[in-house]
Amino acid sequence: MPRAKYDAIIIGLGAAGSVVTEALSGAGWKVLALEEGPWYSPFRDYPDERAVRTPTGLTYEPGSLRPSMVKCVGGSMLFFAGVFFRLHESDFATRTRAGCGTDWPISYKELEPFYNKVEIFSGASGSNKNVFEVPRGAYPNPAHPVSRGAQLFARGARTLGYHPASTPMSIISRPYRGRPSCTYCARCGEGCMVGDKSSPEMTYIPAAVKNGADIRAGYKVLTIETNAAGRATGVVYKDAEGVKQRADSDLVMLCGSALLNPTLLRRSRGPAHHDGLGARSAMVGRNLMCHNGGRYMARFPEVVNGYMGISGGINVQDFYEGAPGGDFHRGYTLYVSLLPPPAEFVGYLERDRWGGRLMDVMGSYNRIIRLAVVGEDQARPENMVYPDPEATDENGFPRPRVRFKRTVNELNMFEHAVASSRSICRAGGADDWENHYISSGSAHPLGTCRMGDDPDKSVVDRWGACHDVPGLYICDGSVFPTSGAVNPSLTIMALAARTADHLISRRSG
Amino acid sequence: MRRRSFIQAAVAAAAATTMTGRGAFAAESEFESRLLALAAVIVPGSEPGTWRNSAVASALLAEIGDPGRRERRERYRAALEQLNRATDDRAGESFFALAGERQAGVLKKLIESDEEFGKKIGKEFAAMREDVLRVYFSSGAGMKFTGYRETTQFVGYPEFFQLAETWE
Repeated sequence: MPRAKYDAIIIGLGAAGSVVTEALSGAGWKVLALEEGPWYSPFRDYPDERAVRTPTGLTYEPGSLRPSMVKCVGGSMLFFAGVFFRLHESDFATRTRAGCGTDWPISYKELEPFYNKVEIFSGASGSNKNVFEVPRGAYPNPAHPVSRGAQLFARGARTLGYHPASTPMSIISRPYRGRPSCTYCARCGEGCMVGDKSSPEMTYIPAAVKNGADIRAGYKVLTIETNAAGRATGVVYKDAEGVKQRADSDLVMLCGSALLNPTLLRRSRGPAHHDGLGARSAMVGRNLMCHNGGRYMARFPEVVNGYMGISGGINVQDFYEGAPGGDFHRGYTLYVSLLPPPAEFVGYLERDRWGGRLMDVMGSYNRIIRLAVVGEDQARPENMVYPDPEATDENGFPRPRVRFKRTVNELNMFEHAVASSRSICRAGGADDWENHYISSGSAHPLGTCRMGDDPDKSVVDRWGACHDVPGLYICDGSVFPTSGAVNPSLTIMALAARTADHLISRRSG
Repeated sequence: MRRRSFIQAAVAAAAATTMTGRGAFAAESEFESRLLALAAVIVPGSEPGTWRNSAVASALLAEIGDPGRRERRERYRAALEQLNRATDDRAGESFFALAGERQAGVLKKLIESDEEFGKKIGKEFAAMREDVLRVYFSSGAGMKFTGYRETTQFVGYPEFFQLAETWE
């Protein structure tokens, strides 16, 4: 029996894969979307925490930061907090403007229509009064109410002359397109069964199913196939029963994440690609970026219930482009993030971990707020994902191995972020108790298949097309040339929408 | 049928006690009371009886008593014995005979100043501390102490957000 031929095969159904699958199937294309992880049922799996982060099979070098991602339909966004920032205009030209990083081959203006498109589809909530963002129209939904802790943070920032702003969220603040608004149950991190968080399994995936996309969960792609001319021809995958199968298409779109794409590309050798796909620039797997992340906690004299509601609240981006006298490149965003429940929160209190001192802090738990620091990470070729020389997976393929070391640049930036968080919170009324930590992991892996105009220095072009493999597109956080200093979900989705739009227009044109 | 099951279970329990000996039962009981005493040092109860005959105490014992984690239980037992001996060496008294505040003081001193003690039971103490903290702060007593109120979907807006205004 002849194998089915598809107009497009999508690998991975996270932030990018979901958007692409919806767009192409909506244009009438015959789309096959393969996701290695499970497809959770929100009402069955989210309330009882049955939606779990399945093992990714990654290994890490000793001393390496431990970035991670989630394999499932919806990807890491299933567990994300809903923070939905755009990159700033300057992020697309850091080399030109700040002498560091790499300029993107596209500008903010080129991506802007796709930011709008994704925000409208998702129902983003926010205020357009952030002076650091490019002037823009209204959000589809108004900004969320903010907690008392966020208000105190904003008061402190204002006192010091900074410019606090509402944090844009993917979480809908009023009923939108058949989905109810947020109930502020604080369970964003377990999967939002209400559907207001707008993670793809609640938005793009149902639309793609309606469009007729063939979505298969539990299917692992083993290799991307190419012909003698070097062109992508399809994929070999293992189905949910473990049977090896093949699917054909002239268009393969890799949306598997910055952590998993490199090893799949490297093991997909073909007659014209002896070293794997995209190997020409030797950039596959390199320039891994993870954001310079951490948390700062402060305590106020009044009850602020920092664990209630949603993350985001108020943000401060006065240090986004850097700080006068700061010994680091570019800068960071601060925003109020949810305080974890007591049993988890206590794990962060290294210095006060037992006895009376511990109980003093825990007794003031509902007077504490937690800030998130998201700092720009400078790409370095030494930070990378590569095939593990020893550990193999169940198919005998080398596991992806991560090497990521922070530099003095990131440590200096975090130190500055702690100092500015401290001064803002104390200006807002916080007492002298504080706690902070730089993250040992990251949910924002970026950059291992960077985008660029020069095929000798980048893996994909401005549209996400692999320079040396016709028919192969890469479309997720791995194509970011620089990280910016905001959560990347919206930009990943906007890039995916832009690539899909390009493919559709090219075909119809 | 139910009555028969009960009798069978009772006979089996009695036999087990006889077979393993009363000494083993007593040792087990001593381990549990020592563990709960240490828990009271790690989390000084804001309410009397937090670590005696309470839901929290039962939850901790159930956690430690998990048959799949027997090895850990034995390590804890040995560590608690070490703690007792080290206290006896220094203070001439059993750790578990000391009053709560003195227990905390001795334990702090041992952890901070005695390298040998740190090596021997520091790791186990850290693990026990993790178990105690997790159990306590997941319990109703721990949530009440912190002021944490669990919210779920469909119970309406938390008061805090219901009253809040959009910030601009």
